[in-house]
Amino acid sequence: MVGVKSVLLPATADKNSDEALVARARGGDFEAFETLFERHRNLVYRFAYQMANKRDDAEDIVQDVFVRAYQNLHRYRDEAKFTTWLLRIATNLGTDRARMFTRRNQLEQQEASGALSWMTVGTSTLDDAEQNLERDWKQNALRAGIEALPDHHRKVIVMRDIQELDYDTISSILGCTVGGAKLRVLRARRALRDRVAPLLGERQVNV
Amino acid sequence: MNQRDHDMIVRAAYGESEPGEKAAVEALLSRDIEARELYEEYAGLQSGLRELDNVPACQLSTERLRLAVLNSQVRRPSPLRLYWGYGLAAACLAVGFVALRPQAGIQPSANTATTIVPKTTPLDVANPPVVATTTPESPTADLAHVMENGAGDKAVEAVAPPTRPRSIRHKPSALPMAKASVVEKTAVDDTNTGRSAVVGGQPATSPATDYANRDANMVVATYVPEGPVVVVQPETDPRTGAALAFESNHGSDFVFGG
Repeated sequence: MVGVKSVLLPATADKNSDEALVARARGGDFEAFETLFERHRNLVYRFAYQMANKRDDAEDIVQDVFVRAYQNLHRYRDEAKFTTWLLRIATNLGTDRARMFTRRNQLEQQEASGALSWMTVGTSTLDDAEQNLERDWKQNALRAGIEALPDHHRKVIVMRDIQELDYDTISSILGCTVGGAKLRVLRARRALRDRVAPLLGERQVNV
Repeated sequence: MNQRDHDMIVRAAYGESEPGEKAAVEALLSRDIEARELYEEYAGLQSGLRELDNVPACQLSTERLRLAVLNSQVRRPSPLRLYWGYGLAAACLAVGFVALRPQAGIQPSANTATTIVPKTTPLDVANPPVVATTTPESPTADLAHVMENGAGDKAVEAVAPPTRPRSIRHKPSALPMAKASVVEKTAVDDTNTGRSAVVGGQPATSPATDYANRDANMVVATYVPEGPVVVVQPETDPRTGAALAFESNHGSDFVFGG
């Protein structure tokens, strides 16, 4: 039989739910998968952007996440939410790519010597230029601190403190208990504070 | 401030305090300046991290995703294709092995009195020993004469010894598929030519006791590619009786004697 296979769905299932779309995509309906992509690409992109800190790299990660998801749709089980499954793929991909990006980012940072970041226009809408400068400086310090974190700390900081995922989801993504996820987040916050505090202290001294 | 208080302050700064912790945190912050500074530090981190969520829009299109999926399906080798590749490689190896292995099963032609030497080692098969000695009574025997007398008519077949005689020169085999044959012959005088000839048959006396013709009870092994047996009887030096080097018509030279 050529073409889209018929997929049996529960009568109560919403035709536009993630599970229904996944079932249709499993049967060969690529449009259903495209709907899933348009629905969840920003979620994956925000996570990837915080991990890679570069737009192009983040888009590459998003593309790889959805390609891998499409190739492994038969492995997806409905116990977990589709978004959780996507973020789990993104986490694994981010770990692989982080090693690759680390070296490249170091080289780029050496070339830029950090001065160019001060010349970029901030995204803030505040009118006060001094507040903008202070805010941009703080954000840069935070990004530098996050980037300096080990990968396992960076993941949980992004998931919990930037994307504000709940601990249940984080534990599902990491494959651990909720208590374990809380402990990991706590350790990551302390590690981040240890890296950012010196930067903020320098700023206060300079000001 | 101990570790437990530190963790409690972190949870309070991020708004994740347990129900029973709030009173303890407030009491700690009211009496400890260091704890209050730490709390403000974590609270600043938390607010700053939330502002980091402002990321540029994703420009990834569905067309690009579709192309990436198609490319991944093209690039990804299917397991069936892998199996075909492995099978083809195994078949090539098997064919090569069969084509290059020694043809031990080929029987000699009917007009030869040859016996295939049993394979002992691969080296023996590839380089079969070539043994040819001559009798002192036939110093002028040559290859043509030997062939005229039908060296292989009544030859007594023998098997080459597993070890190589010292006088054997191993020539690297240009034809690895060639067969080796060993023929035992007895030398007698040729009345027509006065030359010594090699004919088939058993010697009149025991080789062990017939010292006069002990060299006649020789073991001849010829290197026969595919044709009839060629028994080589090189010339000997009439003064010393030593065997001379012989050069065959095929350009291959052999060294005899010792």
